Amino acid sequence: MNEERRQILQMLAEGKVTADEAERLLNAIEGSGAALGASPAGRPGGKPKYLRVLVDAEDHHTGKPVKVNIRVPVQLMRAGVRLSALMPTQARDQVNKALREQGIPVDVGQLRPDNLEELLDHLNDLTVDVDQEKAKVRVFCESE
Amino acid sequence: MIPALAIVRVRHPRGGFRVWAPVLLLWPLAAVAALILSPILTAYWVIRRVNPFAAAGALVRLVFSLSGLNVEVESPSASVHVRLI
Repeated sequence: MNEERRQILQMLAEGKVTADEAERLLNAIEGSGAALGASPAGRPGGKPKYLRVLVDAEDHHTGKPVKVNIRVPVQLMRAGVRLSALMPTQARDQVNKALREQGIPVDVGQLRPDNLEELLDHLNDLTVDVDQEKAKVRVFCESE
Repeated sequence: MIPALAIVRVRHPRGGFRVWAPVLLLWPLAAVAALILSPILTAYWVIRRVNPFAAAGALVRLVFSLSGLNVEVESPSASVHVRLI
């Protein structure tokens, strides 16, 4: 049993992922393993097609569960980044200012397709898990 | 691929609805509207010092990459599911 498979089963045992999510992750690993030989670049995991964001949280007022499940095509992110590169300087400054006010010191002008590709390459290899008392966030890439 | 179908599902304690909208039918209309508006858009982009061809290309790419988008939000008071196929 390889390390990735063991990690998924451990996450399932600890209740961090549901059985369906674990099955999907295992399928993704199997798919990437099969694609590895066929891929000219030999990159593990193949090309990511979707960015998934899963949020399990509790409502602040009622304490009842709130779930968010977002699947964004990577192509859409690429198109968005290309569009942001065409943003007029004044609009870019306003966006940067608004982001800074929200505590996100990101310069939108620095977002370039190359940077996105690099980010996606790294996300393809790892899953970002944020576990808090009342919220759980998972960000990962899906090949299919 | 350009989105052909939009599925919108809204549920709340008082009811809800589900819509299957064939957005494929909207694209020819959108293309005609874009053609009519193109002089205005081009003038705007030129004034804003944006390459009109690059902007138009980016917008078309954005529309063509919408397919596969899935947004699902569930809360005790309401749930919304939007999917583009």
